[in-house]
Amino acid sequence: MSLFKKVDELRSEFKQALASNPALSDLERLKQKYLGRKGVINDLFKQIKDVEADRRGEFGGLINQLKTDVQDLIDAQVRESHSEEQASDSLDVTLPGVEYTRGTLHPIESTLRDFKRIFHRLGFAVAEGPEIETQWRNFDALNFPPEHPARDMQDTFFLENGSVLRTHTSPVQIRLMLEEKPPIRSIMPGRVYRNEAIDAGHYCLFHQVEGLYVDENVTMGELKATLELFCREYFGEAVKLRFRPSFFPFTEPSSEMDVSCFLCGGKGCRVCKQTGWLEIGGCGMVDPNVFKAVDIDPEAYTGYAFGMGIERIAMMKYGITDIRLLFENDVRFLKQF
Amino acid sequence: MNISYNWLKEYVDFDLEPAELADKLTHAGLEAVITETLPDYFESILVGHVISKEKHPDADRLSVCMVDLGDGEPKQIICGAPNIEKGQKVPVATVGTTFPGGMKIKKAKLRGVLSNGMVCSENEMELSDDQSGIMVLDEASPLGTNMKAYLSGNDVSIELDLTPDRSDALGHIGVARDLAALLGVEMRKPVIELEESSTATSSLMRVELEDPDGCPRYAARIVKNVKIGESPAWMRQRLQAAGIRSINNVVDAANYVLMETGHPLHTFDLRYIEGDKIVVRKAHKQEKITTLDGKERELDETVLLICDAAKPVAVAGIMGGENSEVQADTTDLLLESAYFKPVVVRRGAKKLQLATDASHRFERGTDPNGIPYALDRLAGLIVDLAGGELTNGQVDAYPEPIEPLEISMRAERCNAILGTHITVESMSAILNGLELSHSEKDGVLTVTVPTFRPDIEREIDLIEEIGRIHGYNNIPLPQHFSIANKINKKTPDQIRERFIDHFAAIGFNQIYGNGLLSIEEHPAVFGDEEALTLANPLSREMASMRSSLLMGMAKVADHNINRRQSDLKIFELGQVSTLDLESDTGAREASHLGVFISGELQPKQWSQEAVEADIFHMKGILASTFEDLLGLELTFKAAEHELFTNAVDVVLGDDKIGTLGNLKQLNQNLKSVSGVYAELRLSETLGLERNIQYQQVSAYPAVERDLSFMIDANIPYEQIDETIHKYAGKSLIYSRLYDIYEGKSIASGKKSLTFRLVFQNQKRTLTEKEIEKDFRRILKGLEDAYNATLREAI
Repeated sequence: MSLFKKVDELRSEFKQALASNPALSDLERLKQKYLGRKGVINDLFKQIKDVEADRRGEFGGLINQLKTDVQDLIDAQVRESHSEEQASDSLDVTLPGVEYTRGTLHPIESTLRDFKRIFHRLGFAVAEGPEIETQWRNFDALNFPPEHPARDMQDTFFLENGSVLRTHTSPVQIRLMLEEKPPIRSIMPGRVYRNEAIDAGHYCLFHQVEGLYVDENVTMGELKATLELFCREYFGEAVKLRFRPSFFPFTEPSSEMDVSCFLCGGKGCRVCKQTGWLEIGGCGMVDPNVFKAVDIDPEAYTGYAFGMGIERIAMMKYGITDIRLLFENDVRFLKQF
Repeated sequence: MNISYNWLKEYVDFDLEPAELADKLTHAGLEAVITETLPDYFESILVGHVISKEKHPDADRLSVCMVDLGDGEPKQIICGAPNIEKGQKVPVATVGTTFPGGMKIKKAKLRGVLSNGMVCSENEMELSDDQSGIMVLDEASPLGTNMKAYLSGNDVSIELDLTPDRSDALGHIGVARDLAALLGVEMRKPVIELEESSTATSSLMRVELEDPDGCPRYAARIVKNVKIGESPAWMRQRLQAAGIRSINNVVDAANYVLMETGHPLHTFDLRYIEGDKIVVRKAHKQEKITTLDGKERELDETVLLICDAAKPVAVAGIMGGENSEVQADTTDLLLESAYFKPVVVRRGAKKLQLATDASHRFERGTDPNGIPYALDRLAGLIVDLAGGELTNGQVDAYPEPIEPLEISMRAERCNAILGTHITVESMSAILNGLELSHSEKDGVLTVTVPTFRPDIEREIDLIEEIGRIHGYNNIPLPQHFSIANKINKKTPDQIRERFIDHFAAIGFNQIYGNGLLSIEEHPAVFGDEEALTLANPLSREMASMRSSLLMGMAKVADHNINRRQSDLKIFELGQVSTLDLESDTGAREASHLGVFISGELQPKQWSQEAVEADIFHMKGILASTFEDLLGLELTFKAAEHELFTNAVDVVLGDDKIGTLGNLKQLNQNLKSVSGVYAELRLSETLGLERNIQYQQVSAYPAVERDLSFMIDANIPYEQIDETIHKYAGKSLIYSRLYDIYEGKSIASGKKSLTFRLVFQNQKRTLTEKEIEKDFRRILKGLEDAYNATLREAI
């Protein structure tokens, strides 16, 4: 039984060695001696074949246990030594912390998230739709008459087959209203395209968040209140909102919405071109012709819709003066958000 | 469109500063900004008085003048114009003035004599093409006034950015109407009194409408013996403020009436109208006309023409013909005032690619019943400015008069839509202000909509008018509002957001790529992409929709690597689209995840070594993402792929959802890009929800065992791992490849692998014997399958 005994001997020998409170370097040597490739415990493994066949399992278990114990004890001792070392003055605690590289959300993403979060709180679901749309959903159903100057308001990319790259996320409103009956209360974020020359203020694509509420007795006053609540939440309590009559084929009455310039508080500055106001989007009451196109009775239901450009608002918020930076994706730019 | 502050005052009395006026109009939906129509250089051109004029001693054509600029110190100025005389008031460009061509006025000696400025011609100031001599100003012009003030008559120009529905506001009268309604005052239109000769216009001219659909009304007048000349200062100032350059008194009069009524008019030289008739007809295919801008244009049936008995003389509603243009020696005029269908003018303008002030208005809808007024107004103005005799009456072809619409508006409905409590009386007052005559009974207002408001066709349009004039900002905010008691259909964006958050949390920068690419930039990541091309691209570089995220990602990587930012961890979660004939748009769209890593994932630091990006990091990142977010296990299969070396297919369940690998060079422009790229189709995945069911944590100890064995070097890990799990039994709860070793102490053609195995049972402590049994079974399995041999367990 000498091999079994040897296991016991090695165990007590190791405990003795450990009891002398070895330094870290000694611990490393001990580890080599017992656990290393050519260490004493490995020697024991090699001798398994010398044990009687019916006791080999028992022996194997024993040396495995020894190995685990040695490993645990050394680890514990190493930890203790480390904490002692850290407690001593010899550790230069002014060495820099370990750097972890930080990831970032794209500023369009984080602006979108802010919008979603606020509207979610106001009871809006999120609905999305495809970027390539039929002309019917992008224009006709939204009360853009064929060959009407209103179609020129949005420079449109066409596919060879006559489909369009959606010029707004409003076709998602059409999809929603066709798919389910009112009440409908959703926002529609997404990417849209305009065939416009690219410069610091314009890009061939951008992102919108539109909102739609269709129910009985929805009023323009409620539209204003909802948007004001949104703006106070997003831009801060002090923000002021103003509504100006405008024209969109899919809403009647239609309005532009401006917020007081958050940079100058409305006094007039470079950002707001001395007007004190920043245009942030359009809104209005859903045009009865839109309801007719999706088979909703405009006498029974009314609704409001609004839309805002994400890039425009992100640029205002972060002081970005060139929209192209958002799509260039220079990591030195991205890492700032 | 620009309007003049002073001009507006002719039609409505108001006591508003220009800025207040602009604000008022803006709040009524006529977006107004005060604007400058005269360039800055006019500020340093001053009105001067020529005190003396002497001959230049050394140059016959030059005069030496003393000019008083009102500052008490007359300046000596050399002038070469033949028409300069003592006693004139003239515009003097003072030293320092810079003209648009770059010419800068300096003190200079001309043939030895000092000149302190320049007396300007209209051409030099870019006021007109007249370069026959210097501009001579009115004798009463105040000395020293700058030309900006002089030319504008101290007017202010206001630029209106009008929405396409408001054709009625494309003239001063229309704007004045809105303003009067806003202020609650009366508007006045000029009263026209005409003196006509006894000759009936109809005896001199006939009008034939061959296409009364395209041109429902055409009216004309004739003025004889006019004298073409310059317009008076007041006219020039008005047009200046409206942003229109003065041409001559007749053309200016037509532009004036355009800017006043919003109705486009045209003047023909009568001597070129053959056969005493006007015919309005569609153009023939390939018919040609040379328009006023000197360009010959080829037409087709979409274009409507104004013709005489022999030839086309104008493109209806767009531009006149060169062959009948009013010239300096014109004496007899034919004046046109007509109504063309908006869509006809729109098609014509699109066909000719020609947008004019006239076509802009006709496209948006002019007033068919305002034609006689505009025509009389023009006739009266021409006689005032250019003399001549007006023949008797208009010839007016109007076979089917267009009647005003009659629409009812329920006051209650109006308040229900707006959320207001506006009284019927107030609504009535607003309608009156807008010249929308109406009657009221039981809260229903029945409105006769004049034809100058083609945008008002329905009850809701009237409701907008009430809201607009009442003021959107006066609509009260409810203290409470309703939220539908219903869960609306929603897009599953939570999983997508979690993907994005996850990557950001592990150190990745999210990108938003441009979705438009050139048609050559569609590498086959999945092999079945058929990209969608645009019919009207912005440029060759952006002529198709991205079919995968790879090219956009590679361009972003290239941009950054070229700027010495080569340690990249970037990702995009975005839409791609491919051809799909089944779909009603012809497109199929999908959400893809693209991930790119290059350089060092972690920099070398004092406490740790640098970590280089490789495909195993990518595999690990993707596997842990799916595990963490969805509790799903991704598997990876070695693959061949033309875009990657060391390609690996990413498999979820039985479906290949993506590929990763070391990116090969995509094209010549992207040489700098090297790194590991992965692209996954996520559309189905994003619809999943992670279903978490709590698993009780075992109260019994877990036991670790290391298994180290030698095996043929060419046996892939994947097979070894499978074998281990095949033989492991239920107690193996975790295994991890701990070490691979090939080298000195290992026989060639062999490798040594070490696995860390963890055994645990839910219900009891595992005995040494049980673990040993599992351990041996695994080893036996490896021995049988691959001739593996046990090494010492470390």
